[in-house]
Amino acid sequence: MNIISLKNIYYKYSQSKEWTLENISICFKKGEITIILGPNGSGKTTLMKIASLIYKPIKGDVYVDNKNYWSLEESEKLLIRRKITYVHEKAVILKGSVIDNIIYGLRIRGMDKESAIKKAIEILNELEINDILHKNALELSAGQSQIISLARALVLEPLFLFIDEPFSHLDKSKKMKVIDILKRIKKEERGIIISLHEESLVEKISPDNLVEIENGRIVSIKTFQ
Amino acid sequence: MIIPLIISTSFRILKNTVYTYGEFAITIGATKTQKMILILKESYLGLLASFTMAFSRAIGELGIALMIGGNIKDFTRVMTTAIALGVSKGEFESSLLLGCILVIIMIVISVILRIISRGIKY
Repeated sequence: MNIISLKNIYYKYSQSKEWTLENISICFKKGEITIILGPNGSGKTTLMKIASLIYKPIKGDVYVDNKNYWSLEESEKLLIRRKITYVHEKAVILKGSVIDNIIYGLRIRGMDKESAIKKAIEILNELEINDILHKNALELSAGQSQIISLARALVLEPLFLFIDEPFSHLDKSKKMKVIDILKRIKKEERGIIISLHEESLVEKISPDNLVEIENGRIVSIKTFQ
Repeated sequence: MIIPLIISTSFRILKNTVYTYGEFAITIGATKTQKMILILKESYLGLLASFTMAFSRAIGELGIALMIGGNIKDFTRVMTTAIALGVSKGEFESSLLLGCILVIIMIVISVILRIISRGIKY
């Protein structure tokens, strides 16, 4: 799986009369960091959810390695889906401890509990949050929840990682830690797509592509070397 | 008669859980069955509360038991109708006793449901 391409995508929510996304065509490649930048309500999250195969576009096609994703069999879709992970801006936290949350994705993929915990601890060590391992996940702060939901995605080692506003609740040191990890993942030939509304962070992340979006339309796509 | 109450409260609980955890399940690569299990696990406390509330309403119901059941001895007489009948006949002692038994049954069931809800670990 090397590339996710969106061709002439149109999307609107059932209650809305206007298009949330209009005529969007874009490619996301493995081994690249892409930042989607735009003000609140510009359609960043919707674009991310269509590219990460959560939402089905109303018009247009989504191709994964030249295969039209939405016309595939359910079993094939699941195989592709398991190589992509999306991290919500507002962290979704499951009942149970922090470790239960992090190993959930591994457990549903059939990994035994011991190996899953071992893998989760490695990620927690890297994120320097191993002190909250056995804490009740529902009692965490917004920042901790955001880190946990990121750790839960990282532990799955996805080929494409979509992160919606990953830094909104993080302090400066955690922001830098996460940026370092994202850069490390990029070197492992994985694709990272981040949505942001703060332009100040773009330089720190040093992305390969910067996509600017406004009112549901792509305004510009810049590619850096 | 209690089914609409169960449906309306359970629907509200499930609607919120399906929206949040249903989408999360897709993002993490869960199958349809795993998604359903996750939604049930995340909403079982709310569902349990909804059933407890409906059960409390049902067990303490008098009007419906009288109207539908008719309070026929050894056939459709339930505790609430027996209490009402006892009071109207002036048998306060037996009515009070039945009332106490009804309260004890409710307490025991509530405690059992509480233990179940604590016992189910994620």
